[in-house]
Amino acid sequence: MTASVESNVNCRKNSGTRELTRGDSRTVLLASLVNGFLSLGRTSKLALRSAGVTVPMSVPMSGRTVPMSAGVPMSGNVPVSRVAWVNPVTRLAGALILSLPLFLTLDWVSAVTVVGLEIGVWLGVHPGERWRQVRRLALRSIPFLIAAPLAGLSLALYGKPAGQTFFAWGLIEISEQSLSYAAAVAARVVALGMAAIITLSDVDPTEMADGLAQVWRLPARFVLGTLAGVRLISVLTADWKTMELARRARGLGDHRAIRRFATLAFALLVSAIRRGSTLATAMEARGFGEGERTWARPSTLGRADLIYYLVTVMVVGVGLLVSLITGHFRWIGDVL
Amino acid sequence: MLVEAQDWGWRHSGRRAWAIRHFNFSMSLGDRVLLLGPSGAGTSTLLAALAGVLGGSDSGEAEGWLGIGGVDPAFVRGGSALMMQDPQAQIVLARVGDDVAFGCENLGVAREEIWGRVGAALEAVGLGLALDHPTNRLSGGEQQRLVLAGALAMQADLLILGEPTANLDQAGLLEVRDAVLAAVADRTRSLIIVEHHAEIWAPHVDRVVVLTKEGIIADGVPDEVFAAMGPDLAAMGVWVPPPIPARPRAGSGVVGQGVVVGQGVGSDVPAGTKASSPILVAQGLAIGYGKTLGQGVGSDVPAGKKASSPILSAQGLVIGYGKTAVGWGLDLVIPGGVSTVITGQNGAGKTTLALTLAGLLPPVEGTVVAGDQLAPVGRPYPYTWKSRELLTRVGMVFQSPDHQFVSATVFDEIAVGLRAQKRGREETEETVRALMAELGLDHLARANPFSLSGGEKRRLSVATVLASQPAVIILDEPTFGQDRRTWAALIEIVGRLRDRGHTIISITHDQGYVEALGENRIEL
Repeated sequence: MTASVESNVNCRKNSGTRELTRGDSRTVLLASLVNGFLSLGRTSKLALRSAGVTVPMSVPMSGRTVPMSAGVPMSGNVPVSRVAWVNPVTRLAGALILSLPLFLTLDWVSAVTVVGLEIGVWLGVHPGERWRQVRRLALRSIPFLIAAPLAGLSLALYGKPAGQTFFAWGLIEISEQSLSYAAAVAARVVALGMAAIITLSDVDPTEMADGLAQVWRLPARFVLGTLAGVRLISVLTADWKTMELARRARGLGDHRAIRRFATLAFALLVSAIRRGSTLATAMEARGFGEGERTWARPSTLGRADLIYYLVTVMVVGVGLLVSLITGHFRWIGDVL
Repeated sequence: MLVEAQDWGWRHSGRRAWAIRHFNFSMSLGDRVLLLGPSGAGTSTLLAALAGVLGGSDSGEAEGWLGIGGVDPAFVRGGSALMMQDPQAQIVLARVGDDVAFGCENLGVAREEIWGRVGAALEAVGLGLALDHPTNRLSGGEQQRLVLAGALAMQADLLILGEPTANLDQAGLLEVRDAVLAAVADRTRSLIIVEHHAEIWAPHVDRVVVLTKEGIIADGVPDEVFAAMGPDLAAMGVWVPPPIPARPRAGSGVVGQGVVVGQGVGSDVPAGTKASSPILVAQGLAIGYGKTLGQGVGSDVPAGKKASSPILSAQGLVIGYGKTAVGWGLDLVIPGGVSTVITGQNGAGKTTLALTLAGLLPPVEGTVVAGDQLAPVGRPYPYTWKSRELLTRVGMVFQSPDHQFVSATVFDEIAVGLRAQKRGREETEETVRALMAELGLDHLARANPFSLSGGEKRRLSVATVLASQPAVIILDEPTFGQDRRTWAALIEIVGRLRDRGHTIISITHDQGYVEALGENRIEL
């Protein structure tokens, strides 16, 4: 389970010399709330906990969190994909490596090849029944599958015309070339989306934070502030749910949805400020923000990360190569 | 001296009055001190100062001297460990083990040692969970123990606890107390506790210090302080023995109880109560969020128990969340016009049950059925009622009053339900004024609900429900966070409502409340 964890790796001594005042930690928390809202998605399944009620929350777990050498109990084996052996920051880097060439080129062959390879990789790293995995990937891709034709449409209508023209009306001119741009953009949207799904789905926020701080050496203050903020969001989501129920109980559940939303939003703001400052105080009381810090969970790079980088580069490389060989390759500069 | 204060004071920035002033105090390493005082006496400011989290000169102004081991607490890292009320807001990380480790990491403890400390701390507080157990699936009591474990793992010289047992049921409360006492047993560290429930800690501390706005008014061994100041302390809202006596029903001698613990819970109604048809009946009910519950567990209500005049009942009730059913096959019957108390351990699903009975959450399996005297004709299921229909039938007082406030002033807050029913302006005004007078809120008519004290917020949340006169009133942990004074007032109010014929359903883990109002008792 913890094949890639090496407990002998030196933990990084954080050189955060600056003292953290409470104002600072509040700022970090607030900033992290914003970050959190942007990055949440998966975490938004919530717990109605403020009312003391617990609601389901599927928390993905991988084995790399706790060193086995510590001899601590873990709650059984949770089957995870092989990607879980890869450090989250490597996965983040992988997403960037996959997207950059896709942003810089515009032809349908490279994008379609990349999509095909991505599907292959997904099936390769996710153990279990194939059809179920295909379904999972398809379900998660729905937003991109919807966005892709919409993105393509504008290029089909307004793209730089060349070759045979099929239809023209005012500014609209659908030509051979504009159609090929459209296909290229649509395939790109799907390829980028799938790259994000494959590299970043099921990333555990705690492990990502560990990686960012220990491997990429981002400031601990910022990383952990963000992490705490992300957790706070699930608490606030639970507050929101409870407050909705309370409005129904108070006879306000039938009409005036907009006004109800406004009072809910205000109440949530009050709650967020209160919870945020309590959390900042609690973190500070536990010594957060001052001096050197150790890390209970080692975050390291290993062979899995190397393989991951190789596969990522290969996917992109093969995509570009195929389009070069088939003569479809085109820089984005040629289009604009 | 570990802790020393000389004429210390603190004034929050922007305030004219000092939160605490002329505070003189000292304690040695190993001492255990119980700090008592009415709200507003500055105890929370003092705790924050000792924990080093008061902030710098932009947060307020200090005078005199306060030190731990001769150093200003703001500059001692890990000199003290603090645990406050509201544990949910103090949990930092997503997994139990990580959260306990957080403080150790910040103190620069070596990795190998951290996990040893984490294991020991979790064991000390009796939290037998896996290290990767998600922290957002903990009950209130478990959260409190987790936060305590995080404080213990820091191995600070001074352990500071602010209302550490506020969220706990009786068993959990004693468990946490014993964990704290075990942690300080060898006298290598000191303990300062602020707690309304003095009786829990009094036998185990060396000193009791009573702090008021005028400064320390008593400081001595527990027995002497309580002997000398018992009534004064009670008047301040401090819980000192003996406990407040139960409040028997006016005019009715017999107060029975029907408790069946186990897979199924049956309730039977005291023989003396008037026979009435049920107001709410729940059958084969499974409650939870989403619809992912397993099979209902069959219940076995003992054959000898006859259910007379039920108001609400459930059969094969399952409670749970996610794909895991944690629940019970539950049969329950709520008689009309009686005060029913539902108790159960932290995490037993009491609040989910309350929300389901109140028609706010859909039953996952089974039904909640309301009796004819309660339901609109032909529609017995509360969840299918409109919000406005609920208003006059089932009222819910939420555990956290903040969640149910929707208005900018106390007056408007109480008027919300009346306006939703389109009552006349004069009638609304009259009802609101009467309620404010009855619940001691009349001087606060124009105050913002969020600005009230804990006791006032609770009374206001009760008032908002009372305004629309629902036949059934459900209260979720109504005495949570109340001091002795506001507690007694609340018992009085709920008792009065019951006497007026309201059906009361209370979710509580407060033993005193159960004794006072548990005419019909159901244990989950």
